[in-house]
Amino acid sequence: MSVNEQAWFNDQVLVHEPALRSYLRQYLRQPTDIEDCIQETYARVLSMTDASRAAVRNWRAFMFTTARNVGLNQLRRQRVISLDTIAELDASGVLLDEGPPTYEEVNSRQELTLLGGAISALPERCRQVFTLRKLYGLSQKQIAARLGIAENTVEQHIAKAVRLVTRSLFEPALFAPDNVQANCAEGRAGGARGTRISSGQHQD
Amino acid sequence: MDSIKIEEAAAEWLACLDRPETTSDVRAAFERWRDANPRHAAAYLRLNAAWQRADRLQALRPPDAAGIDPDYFREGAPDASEQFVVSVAPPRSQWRLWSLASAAMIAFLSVGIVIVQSMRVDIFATTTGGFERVRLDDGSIVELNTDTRLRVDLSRTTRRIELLQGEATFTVAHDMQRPFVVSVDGTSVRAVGTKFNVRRRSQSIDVLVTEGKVMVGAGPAMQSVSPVMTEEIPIIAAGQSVRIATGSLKLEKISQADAERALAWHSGMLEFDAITLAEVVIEFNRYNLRQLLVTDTSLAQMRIGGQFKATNLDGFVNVLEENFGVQARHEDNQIVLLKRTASQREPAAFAR
Repeated sequence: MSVNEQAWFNDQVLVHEPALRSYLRQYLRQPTDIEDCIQETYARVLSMTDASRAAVRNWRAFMFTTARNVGLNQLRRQRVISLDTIAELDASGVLLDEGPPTYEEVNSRQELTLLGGAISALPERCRQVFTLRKLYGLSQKQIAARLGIAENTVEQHIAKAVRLVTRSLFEPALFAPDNVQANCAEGRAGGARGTRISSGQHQD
Repeated sequence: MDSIKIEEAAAEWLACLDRPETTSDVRAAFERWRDANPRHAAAYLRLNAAWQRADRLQALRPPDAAGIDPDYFREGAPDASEQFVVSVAPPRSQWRLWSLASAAMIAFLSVGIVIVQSMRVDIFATTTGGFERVRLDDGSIVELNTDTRLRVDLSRTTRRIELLQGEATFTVAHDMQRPFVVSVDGTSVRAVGTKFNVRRRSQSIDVLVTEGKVMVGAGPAMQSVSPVMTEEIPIIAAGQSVRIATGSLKLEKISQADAERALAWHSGMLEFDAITLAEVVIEFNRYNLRQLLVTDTSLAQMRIGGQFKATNLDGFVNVLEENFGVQARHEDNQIVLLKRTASQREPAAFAR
């Protein structure tokens, strides 16, 4: 897996995650089902050969189709099958006609607001460790010395922080005009979201 | 399938690999884990994307003199202040104050009060293999190449950019009243409305102008609004490039094709016109964490032409192996390029 693979994954695949999440939330009620579906979708895309990747014209549409197929499989395997949901998901091809996404120039301030918000929402120790590592560029060893904690503890905080920050960054709040959050508010997986996205946007 | 478990494992690997002390054995164990299941790779790539994006926070880094504050991002619970009566305003995090300050500034300006524009210093940075296009507040566009760091300081009277590391192209918004000055150590490049590229090398500074003109000179002389024109301040016009090394300045005219080749990185490409493998290796190494190494002198002098994606190291090495009589030895974090031994077939063709 090269630097190149990471760049490809960022540009063609991850960029669609917020939209994909808000799409899946309409059909998959359990947060873990959504996580499973997204991870499996990515795994399928990563397993494709270079030739079949090159044949994909519109990655956004391709991701949605793959996720829909994965989601349908998941639904069919469940003990209590909601036929309505399967039918809805099966018929949800309409989303796929949107054409290629348009990329905006990086708005560095928006990005910083988003990142800053994600970090503010971390638990205290996690937040401090992440700040020292990413804002000030200290090594894990230096962080351990400065905060007077074990290096292993620092490593654990990094592991936890990166998961929570990732979750914040790929949340669909910015991308979902049709407000689907109401459907799944009870199913939220963790406490990392907060209000940062909207508050960040207002200030910009 | 437990995607959460996989994500947790991926996060542990990422945190572990973040430590320089991690041994190659552990790294190999990570690669085995990652390659065992595409879901493992997916979870890792996803977390790693966010982890790398967080490097952009360096733009918020306060000057070193301000010291290190682990609570830089602490949120002062603004919601709580509305629910309870508090005598003191809750502490707000620095980064939020920073955004509020600019919002307040815009509010002032919109009611017509002329105030001195705030002096805000931004730092923009890319990591190895990175590329970023940024629009500055004055409308100028900066494109940052791999592993680049620059400081932007826009004030009412000047626009000052310091190229701390790497390479960037500047498309300058026209503003006669505010000179746009890019400095690298003591050398400054000054433009009014133009497009130019500056690359900071270890031994020299390269400036390439594709539109308009720039002046190059020692720092302080360049900062005033109307610098004195002297023969010591050379003017570089579109279609020219200049290499500035300690005490010397070499001006040369370059063709449109050369200019396009030099700026191929804007689209993530490297373009070579029969330059030596030694030079090609230097270029690739700017964009990739895995470094190419060539020790054989005759191999280093071999000339190569063509177009390659800057981060497609494996593809480039394959081309060398298949067409240029090269054998690659893959080591931990480097790829050693060797001449293929005599017993092996001579290369079918040299590209150029």
